[in-house]
Amino acid sequence: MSAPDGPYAPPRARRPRLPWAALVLLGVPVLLAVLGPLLYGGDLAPADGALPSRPPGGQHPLGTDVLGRDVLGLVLRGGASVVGGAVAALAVGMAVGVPLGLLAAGPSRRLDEVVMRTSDVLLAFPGLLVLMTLAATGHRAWGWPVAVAGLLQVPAVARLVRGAALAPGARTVVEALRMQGHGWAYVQLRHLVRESAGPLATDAAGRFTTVLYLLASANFLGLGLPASSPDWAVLVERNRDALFLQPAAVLVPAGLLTALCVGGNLLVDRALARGRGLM
Amino acid sequence: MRRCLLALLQCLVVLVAVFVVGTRLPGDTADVLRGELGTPEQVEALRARLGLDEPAPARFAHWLGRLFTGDLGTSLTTGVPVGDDLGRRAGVTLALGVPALLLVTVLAPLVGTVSGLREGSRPDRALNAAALVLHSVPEFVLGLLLVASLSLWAGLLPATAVGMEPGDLLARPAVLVLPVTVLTARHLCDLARQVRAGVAAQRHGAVAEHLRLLGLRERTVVLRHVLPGALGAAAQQYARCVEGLLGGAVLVEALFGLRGLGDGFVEAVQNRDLPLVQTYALLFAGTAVAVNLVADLVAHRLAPRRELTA
Amino acid sequence: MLAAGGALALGGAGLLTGCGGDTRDGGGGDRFRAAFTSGGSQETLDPHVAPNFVDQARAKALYDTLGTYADDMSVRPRLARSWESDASGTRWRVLLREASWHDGKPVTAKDVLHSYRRAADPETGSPSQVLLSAIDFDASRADGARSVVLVLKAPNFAFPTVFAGPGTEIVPDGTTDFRKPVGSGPFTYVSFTPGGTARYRRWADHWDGAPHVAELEIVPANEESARLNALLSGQVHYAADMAGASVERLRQDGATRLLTAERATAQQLLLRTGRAPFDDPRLIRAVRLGIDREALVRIALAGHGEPGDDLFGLGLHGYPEGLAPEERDVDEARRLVREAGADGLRFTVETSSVDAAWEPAADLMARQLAEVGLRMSVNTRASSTYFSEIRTKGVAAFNTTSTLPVSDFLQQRVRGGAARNQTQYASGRFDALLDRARTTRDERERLGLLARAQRLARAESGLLVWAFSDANDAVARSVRGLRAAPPNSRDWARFDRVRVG
Repeated sequence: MSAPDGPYAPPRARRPRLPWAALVLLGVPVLLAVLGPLLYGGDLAPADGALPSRPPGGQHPLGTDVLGRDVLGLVLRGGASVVGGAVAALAVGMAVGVPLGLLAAGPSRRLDEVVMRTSDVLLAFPGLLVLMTLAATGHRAWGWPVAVAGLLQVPAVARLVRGAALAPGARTVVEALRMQGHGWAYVQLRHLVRESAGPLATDAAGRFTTVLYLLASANFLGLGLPASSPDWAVLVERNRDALFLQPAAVLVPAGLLTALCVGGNLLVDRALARGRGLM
Repeated sequence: MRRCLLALLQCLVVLVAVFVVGTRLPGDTADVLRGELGTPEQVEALRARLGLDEPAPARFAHWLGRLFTGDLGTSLTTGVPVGDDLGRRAGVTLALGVPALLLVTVLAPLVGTVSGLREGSRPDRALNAAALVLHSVPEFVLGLLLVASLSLWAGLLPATAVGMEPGDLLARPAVLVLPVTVLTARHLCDLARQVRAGVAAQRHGAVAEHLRLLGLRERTVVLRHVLPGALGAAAQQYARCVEGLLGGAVLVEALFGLRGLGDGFVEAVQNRDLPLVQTYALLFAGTAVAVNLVADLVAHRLAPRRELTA
Repeated sequence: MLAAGGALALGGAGLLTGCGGDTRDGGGGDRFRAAFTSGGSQETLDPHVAPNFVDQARAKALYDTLGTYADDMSVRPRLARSWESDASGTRWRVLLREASWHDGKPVTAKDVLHSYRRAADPETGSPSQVLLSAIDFDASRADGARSVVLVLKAPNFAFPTVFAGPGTEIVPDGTTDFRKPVGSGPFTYVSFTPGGTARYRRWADHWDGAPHVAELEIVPANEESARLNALLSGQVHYAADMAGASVERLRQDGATRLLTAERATAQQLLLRTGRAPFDDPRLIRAVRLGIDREALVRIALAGHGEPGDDLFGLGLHGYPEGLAPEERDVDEARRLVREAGADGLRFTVETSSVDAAWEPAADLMARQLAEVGLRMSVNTRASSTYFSEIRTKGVAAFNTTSTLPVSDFLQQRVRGGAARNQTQYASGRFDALLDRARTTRDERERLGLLARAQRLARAESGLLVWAFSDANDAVARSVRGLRAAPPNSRDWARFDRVRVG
């Protein structure tokens, strides 16, 4: 996530500090997501005699959810799909968007036009319809909404890469490399990828929260994972009517989702500021 | 001109894609309407009456043909002209979207600029932290918490817009406060942060320094260079925001029982009302394409270098 | 026009409150607002097309039926004063009470004939079409202004249940357009937009006395949380169809009152007996013994219900007495599975979000059945097309049925070849018992035959009623004149006796 040091010195340079707040906010949910399934490998089924929506106490440190399941166990197990989904969707978006962006930035203007207008079409397409169709046809596996969320990011990623590759500086260097006899592949893959890596990384961090949010919303609307999934967004949805009875079942997963977003954004901010030499 | 033709073509492509996806949905309107109690005989009778026994491509072609004559047709579900349904729902969406859009349009550049010009200062940090948190709380969580605290617990604001027609919403603006707040929060913070980052970057950019070296006053540098650059960069984001606000907000509408375009689209898909679904898709795609077109033009105007080399 | 009406309608401080006790009634004391879910309904005021609760509530405001269901689903007269059949049970004479339409004209026998003929036409789409098509309309006739003779194609002494059936409302002779409906019910039409609010006004000349509230509004709110919040914050007086956590929330809230119709909804697991693997009765028995109904009620219904004994209609007129309760017996179930050579058998159960209890119930059942050697997986389908899909697809599915007369349920859902028989159960013995019951005049004898048929169906039909869940509606404390009543019965969603404040 390093950005090139500009030749113009920052007016008020500061000693770099570790972004503790960001790291904690981001770290707690991510650690829970990664380590949670290891910590809690047990069955998520309600225990014998378990009652729904019980406040914290006794066997259940965070109480039970509307289905009588242990909220702590659910929370530990529910992060994997949240974090994993966002990362995977991001990967899909990048994997498709970056080559498209480079293609658009290539020498052929016609190709550029075709790629960009096609990606505009994607932008104008109601993604909700696809999610609803997938849900209605039984494609409820984790991968489907993730793929859709990823594809929805393609236009923006392609635009960004194209923009970076077409930036005046990049253009000059490309010409120079061409003159030196470097092949198309070298120019495209070595130089331009390196050139757009900076903006792309910053964008990716911001996009992470967008995707996270998109997937959470889909799950909240019942268009993603099955209703029994421990996914944090699904938990919020399932338990929201019990907010007053058993706040923990809503507030804990909601808080974790929020912390994840805040932490991610803080790091992006920091990276952006570092890029300008601030902080 | 070419861009406009292209835009039309894009809308057409979206329509065809929507049609193809739509036909993948299980069942049809006759199944939905007759529901659990319908006998196969009744479903067949209704299917014939609605013309659903025709092949899907033929129905689509028919619909498209009428579209070019300006006829949106009638909803399969209610038999009401599609335009009526859309008009009523657009009223709700506008009652929600226009105030939100005004708030975003005024506040985002203001907050972003103030914050960006004083990057690192105390007010900037406070504003930025607030924006960050609001930006990060998922809409459904924010809505849930606001309703629980301000409406149900404190009794300050109406909790839902259940049973309100578009006209009622304007007559009782209090109903709109919570939905507009939830709807605005994310877009506003998103855009403000973008403007802030843009302002900060432009202010320390090479061109700004150059202009300063040329002896231009800071005010001039900011007004003539920093702001246009930052706003130009945010234009695309703003376009997303306009699109999001005018295209109906499924989550917010569901939370507050508002019957806007987002809710209408979901219901049309659930009812397998394909003519209605296609009309919604056309409306959304048209908005998206138009807004993007304008955004591209504005971005070009404010920061011409971006597209120069394209 | 609508806007102005709406603005006037919402005048007063009602909407902004939620803090005061007596202001929590959604506007002036003379307007009653009820919130129902409306998604997926055809959204017309045609009373003969009434698939959903909201349609029925709207139909009830505008129209009357000849008869009406008591809480136990036995039929009572309403627009009809009385009815009687000839000795064979094929000719029914119905006498109408003196009543008039909202435009002042009297309700006559011709109106009844038109309404029934229309509802019996499959084109119309009435839920009671199958029952009404038993009438021979060529032979039936009006006998004077307020007496009608209905001639059936086959004898049926249980025929009067149709008088109270959904989609059998009496409309004026010749009516086919319901955009400005004229009824004989307690409220007159004011305005309605599909998917929007339906507004009604009190009709002072109703034969059963004028309603107490001046105006009635039936408003749509598809999300349960939106209905709940609207009620809690005083925006509506009545919120239909509350479940699970909302019920607990309402129990704690001092300003609202729950109307709980206990055991009103039969929660069913349908096993398709016409297809492998459930064409083997041993597997049906194994599933019946393998599921843990107590746990299902506790978790999937959040305790709001009671275990079922695989028969529809607990507490209703005609439910057999002295049934041995279904107890879980894992060992016996496992033995049956092995005996059928089905150890480790995989099958899929269809479910959807139509009823919030299904998905959790399916998950629990999957675990419970794993213990007896059956591996059940769950397939969640789209709710709006769920019923049409399960009609042809799959071997097992969830379903729920609200209260209706036991004999109608058996005729329409269990009888071989019936349009709504989803388990494909076909038994000559069962059908013969139903036929005999239909032609038996003595009620005790008839119920005895039905009881025998039901015991048979319980063992063989593959229609397992694993629980009865409560149906909950909720009202503001300020509302009087409404009591808990099962859906489809006379007093359910009956707003003409309501008082506010």
